[in-house]
Amino acid sequence: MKRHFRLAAVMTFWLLFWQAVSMAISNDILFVGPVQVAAALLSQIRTAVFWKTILFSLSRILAGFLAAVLSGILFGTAASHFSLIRELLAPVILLFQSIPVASFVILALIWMGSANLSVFISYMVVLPILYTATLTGLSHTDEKLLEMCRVFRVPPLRRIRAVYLPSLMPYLAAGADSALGLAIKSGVAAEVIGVPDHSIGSRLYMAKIYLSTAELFAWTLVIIAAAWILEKALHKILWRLDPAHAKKTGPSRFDTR
Amino acid sequence: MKLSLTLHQISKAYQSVPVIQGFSLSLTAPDICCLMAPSGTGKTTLFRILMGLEVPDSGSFTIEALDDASKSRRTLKPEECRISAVFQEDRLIEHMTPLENAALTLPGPMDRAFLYREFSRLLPEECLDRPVSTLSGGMRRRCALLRALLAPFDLLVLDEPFTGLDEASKKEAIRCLLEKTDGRLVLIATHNPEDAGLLGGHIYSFDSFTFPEPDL
Repeated sequence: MKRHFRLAAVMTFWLLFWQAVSMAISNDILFVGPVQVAAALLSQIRTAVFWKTILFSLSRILAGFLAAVLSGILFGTAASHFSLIRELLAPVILLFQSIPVASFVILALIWMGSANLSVFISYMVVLPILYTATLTGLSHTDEKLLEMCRVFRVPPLRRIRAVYLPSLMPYLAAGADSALGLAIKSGVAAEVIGVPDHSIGSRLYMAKIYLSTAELFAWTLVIIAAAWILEKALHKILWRLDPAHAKKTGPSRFDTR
Repeated sequence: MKLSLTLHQISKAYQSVPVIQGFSLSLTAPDICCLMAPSGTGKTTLFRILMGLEVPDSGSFTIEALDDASKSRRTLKPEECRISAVFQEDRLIEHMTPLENAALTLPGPMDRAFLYREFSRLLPEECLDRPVSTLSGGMRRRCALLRALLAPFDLLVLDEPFTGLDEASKKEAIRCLLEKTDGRLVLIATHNPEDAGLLGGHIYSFDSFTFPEPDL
């Protein structure tokens, strides 16, 4: 209770500070205060197109994110097993990590136009992270536990649940966490360049054209809020998936052979 | 089946330092064989070779099944002989309960009632449904021991299984072990002569595993 009180106090302080600074600068194009941002936001929230825009961008970013998580885990698992695959993929992953998002965006625009741009960008940005996380997580699997499984002839599926998955989860969770934020930022940035219709990025671009700093701040707040909600959802999902947290279901717990 | 284990001239060196050299031994079920040797002499290495986790530099071991009726011996392939083990470390799955740890190495779905009964002999009931990570060292050791005893095995290999156990727990654990290993071949490394005495069976003492000089 006391903690919430302090948090509220800190937030109030910064809001007031922000308002004071904006009043001091007194230039709507350079800087706006919370009151104007709130006004810009409220005028939008009632429109259907506001929500359509959010849905458009987030759904594409998430689609790319999920695809990258799945392929990252898949390729990472294959690479940890087969050194040939690991060596083959190493330069590719390095390339993806090194190429600036802007280059990717322009390339993607040439290839596929702007409609599904953020799917592609989100995928490109997240894949190396989840791939590396999987590879590292699997490489840290406790060799002693694996030896124990060998001696006791524990079947592969049980081995995965008992040894590999718990070893992998912390790395996956950390990777997915940082990748989600990155996907959102990169996805929106890509939309600013490619300007697909009805996307968050295109609204940011419009704010630039019309020198509407209030709109810019408002949409930035929307992105921050969306990212916050999505990350909370991700944490919930990861928490559920961790075998260490799996609910006890009684006698049928080991009915996979 | 009655097992016969024969080690013939096993040698293993690490970075050109011989740990085991020319080691031979012959054991037949039913038997409990206590290997007594100081720490660091190669007991663990020998056990790892038996468990198939390491390959000797030279020499070999064979496991044969003896049929009492027909008096025939048959050499078993490694996959035909089931081995159960207690390692020097506990090697338990930390986030799983003692019962789940045992169920992992048992075929088929988890028989909770059976495991609960067996585990309550050596462990207090209230800790049977807690993750192993929350248990004390002695309790974890007992958990590892029970896991090994309950898994189906033809050969049981135990590397200092009673470390961290107080006298009472140890006596109960030994009783449990004797009961569960009746009729089978057990190889146990220990440095405590009292424990070896309690276990009965044959005692083999070595100063090192190079130039072995077994004395019964």
